Amino acid sequence: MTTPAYAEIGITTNFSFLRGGSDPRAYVHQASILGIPAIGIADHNTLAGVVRAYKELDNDKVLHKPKLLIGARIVFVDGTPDVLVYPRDRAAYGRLCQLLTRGKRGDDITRIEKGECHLAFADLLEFSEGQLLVLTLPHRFDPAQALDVLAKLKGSRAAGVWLAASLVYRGDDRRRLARLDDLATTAKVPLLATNEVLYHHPGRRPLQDVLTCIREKSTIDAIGRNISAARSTTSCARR
Amino acid sequence: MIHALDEAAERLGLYIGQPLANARAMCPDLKVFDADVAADAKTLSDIADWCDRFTPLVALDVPHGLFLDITGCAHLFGGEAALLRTLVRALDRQGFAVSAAIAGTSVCARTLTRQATGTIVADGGEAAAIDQFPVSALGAGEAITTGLRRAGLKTIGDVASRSSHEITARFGARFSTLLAHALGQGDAPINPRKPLPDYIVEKRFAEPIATDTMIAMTLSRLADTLIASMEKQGKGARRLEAAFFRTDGVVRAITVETGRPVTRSAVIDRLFRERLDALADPLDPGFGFDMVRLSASRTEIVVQEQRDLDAHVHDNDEIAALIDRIAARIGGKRVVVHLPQDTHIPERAVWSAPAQHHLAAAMQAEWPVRTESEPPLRPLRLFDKPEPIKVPFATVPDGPPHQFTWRRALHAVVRVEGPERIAMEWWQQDGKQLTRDYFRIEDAEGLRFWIFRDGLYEGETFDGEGKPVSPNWYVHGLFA
Repeated sequence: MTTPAYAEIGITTNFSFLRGGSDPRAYVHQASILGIPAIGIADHNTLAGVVRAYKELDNDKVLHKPKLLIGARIVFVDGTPDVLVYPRDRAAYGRLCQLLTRGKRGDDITRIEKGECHLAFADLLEFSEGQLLVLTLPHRFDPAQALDVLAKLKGSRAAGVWLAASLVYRGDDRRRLARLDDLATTAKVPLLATNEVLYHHPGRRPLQDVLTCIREKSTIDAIGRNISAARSTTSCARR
Repeated sequence: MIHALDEAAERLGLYIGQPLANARAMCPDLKVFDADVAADAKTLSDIADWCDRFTPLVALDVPHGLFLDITGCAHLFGGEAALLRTLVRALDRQGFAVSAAIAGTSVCARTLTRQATGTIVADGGEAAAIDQFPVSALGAGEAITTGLRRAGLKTIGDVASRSSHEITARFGARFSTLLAHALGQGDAPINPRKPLPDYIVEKRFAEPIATDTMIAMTLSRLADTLIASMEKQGKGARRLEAAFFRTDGVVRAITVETGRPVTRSAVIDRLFRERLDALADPLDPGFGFDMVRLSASRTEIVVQEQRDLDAHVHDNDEIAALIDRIAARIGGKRVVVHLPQDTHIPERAVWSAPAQHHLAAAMQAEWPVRTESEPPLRPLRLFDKPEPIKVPFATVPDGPPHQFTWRRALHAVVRVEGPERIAMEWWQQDGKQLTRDYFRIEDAEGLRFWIFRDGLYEGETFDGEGKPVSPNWYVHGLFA
């Protein structure tokens, strides 16, 4: 197989509780099989998954060792779309950790329940120095809000800002991509391709669906359209 | 093997279950007809229909018997004796050999019919009435009957004189229950063919009626009476049945169902008129009907509502009434409303439900809303079955075809949108189906199609030897 010139940077592992369907190690192996040069683990408000992925690189069975990018997906409580944060150096990594700590511990006034993470967009801007930031947008998005967020990200001390472009397979991908392209041109940020991966292999779909049911406190028969039946963000290879 | 025989044959000593060759040897000029169990059952059920005129509670006692529960009905026919006479004579005239009896329990009455037809046993007289009959009259089965005879118990009286635990120990609990029922101690409930309707009104005619106008008039009078009796209890009818009893014994029952409880006789009248007009095989009066019965087999409590001055509520009522009328004409299953279902699968996304039962749900149904400036993503109607199309080549892996052949015409693809990927629901019965990629396609003539590729490239479609093959393409619907 020829090596695709594509790096998957939007990977969600099972360290994003009830969201990711595969272990970080499984992604490392899958990337090796598919010959993907680099993978970026970005779990919801945590760095916990990257440790396992990093350790797995020592495994002899991983023939093509992908470059491992360490980051996190920052999910905000104030309605801002998710931002993938990849620190560029050790100092920026420290700031990312500080950001996550604030989200999980709260400040002196408010205490945060264990397992929750409360971050506002302003918090990210405060710790953005030296970070590579990728804004991801949902299937339907508000262009004005997205433009505003991009402008603020660009205005911060971040080392780079991108707009994620992914296929959601809902039938209107081309129109959505065109809109994203417009947005990127207006905001003067480059587009970055990602698949927003939730599991490493198509065989994991049933597991993923069951996780969704548990998260939504529903059953597989009752969940109906809440399940992402149209999603095929499967193996990193579809490009 | 002899299945059934008439009296003359019985007198010659033939018996049921005897091999035919033996019977022929005993009686060389025996007339033999093939047994037709299905026709027998049909005849029995027809007779049961006819017997509906005496009581609504008629039960089959296969293979040759009928139970009629005439509690409270006998006086309408001039008493038990007169009823029995009428029934036997009418059936006799139609060429059936009938033996009938009336008793306090069904088992006792059945025992009587085998030995003393025409008997009427008053309550409490059961034991005395069947005392002298041979044990075979109980109809307990060959083994038990033989067993009783061997034990020297020849008559039912003999058996009854033994203590019941002896009988139970020797012949089983089932037989001792049967015996107790025959002797009038407790009764086995009969199992009526039809549930007892909530309300029944009927009209008998000394002179049979045959004209449409008379039938219509009778129905509307019956409807008035029915409504009056239901109104007293605040009920309305959801299901009505009109039964027409022809003089020659044929019974025709016609049913109408309604979406909401009916409380006005004019409505009943109208529904039956529609139904009778639209019958595929019209009501055939023959020599006339001597009885018409109207029954409400399903009723509901009607809540009297305070009407808004606003006309909307009435609109709804009118739709319901219209649906009832159309359903009366073309059948309830053919009038449907569409209900949205919570699934991605196109075939299952809409459920066509009978309108009469699901009108309220359909009125409140929440359909997925289309955002403004979005085109319709799915056609309004899908084909019953996706139709295969020939696709010479398509963009791999996720792309649309460049041209395709559908119904022998070649279509060049000009505009495309998609794919919309729909993975089948693996937890359903048919969940092993392939993932589909749907495309909205416009061809050179401006026709718009909704096509899909059944299965992904590489990995979902295989031929018989497990080698991957190209997936098939289908048209699933057309955009208006």
